[in-house]
Amino acid sequence: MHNYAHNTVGDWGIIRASENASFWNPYHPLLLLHAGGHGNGNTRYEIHQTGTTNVGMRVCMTGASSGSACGTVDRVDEAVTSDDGVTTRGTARVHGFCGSPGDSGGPTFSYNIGYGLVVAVRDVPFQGCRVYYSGIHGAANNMNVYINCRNARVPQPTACNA
Amino acid sequence: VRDQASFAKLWTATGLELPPEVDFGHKAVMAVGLGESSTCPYEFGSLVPNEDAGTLVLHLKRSYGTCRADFSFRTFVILVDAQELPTLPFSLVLAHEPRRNHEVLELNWDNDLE
Repeated sequence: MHNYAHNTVGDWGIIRASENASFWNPYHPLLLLHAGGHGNGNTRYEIHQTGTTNVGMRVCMTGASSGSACGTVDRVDEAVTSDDGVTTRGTARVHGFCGSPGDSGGPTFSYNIGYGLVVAVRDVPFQGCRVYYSGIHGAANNMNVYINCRNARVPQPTACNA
Repeated sequence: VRDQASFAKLWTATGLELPPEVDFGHKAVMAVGLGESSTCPYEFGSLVPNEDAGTLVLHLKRSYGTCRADFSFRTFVILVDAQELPTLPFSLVLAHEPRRNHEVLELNWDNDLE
């Protein structure tokens, strides 16, 4: 693990991937969309640009544990405190599906626009599930990296937030 | 596992030292590995055998609330009465709460606990 954050700013980190890791190709950044209630699966879902979250938006998530699901943003700029007492500020809250341990770091997106990274899940009786994610721009700035976008109409991936 | 040598192998594989002595004449040991949120760990609930159904149901519980969505590996090592185990082969049903539709897993063992 290189630079990382697990604090009020966010919950993310930079990892080293071996050169021959099959899942990693910075020149062909694609997102895995599992089939489900939201529609068909797509192993080559493209992120054309990044965006900022607003209340009422419909967003989808792909998590390592839960697969893909979609819901509606009901709060932004939300501070979420997990049971270890660590508070992450500036998150967006989504209702409409349940996340699971292992979904952290999963992308949130819709209409080929990337919005953020999953950081926490909430499950309360009679209130239902909530999933919290941090904005992609804040994460990129905090880690001092840029996000690669991919559009099949453009020969090479380009920085989304250049 | 059903003998001390296999148990020692399992025990050290988890990074622990000096496995406790187990009376394998009457006991067996099960190790169930899973993933959980580091801030919302599971607790052991119960282990319920059902000879008629050929199942062993392991109930795990965790509190409701807000959890980091990380995936931390966790292994439950459980000492069981050998005579309470269903006849092999049987299925291990992992039921964990809060319940959701994808949270019951069934593992089929075809011949032995190992």
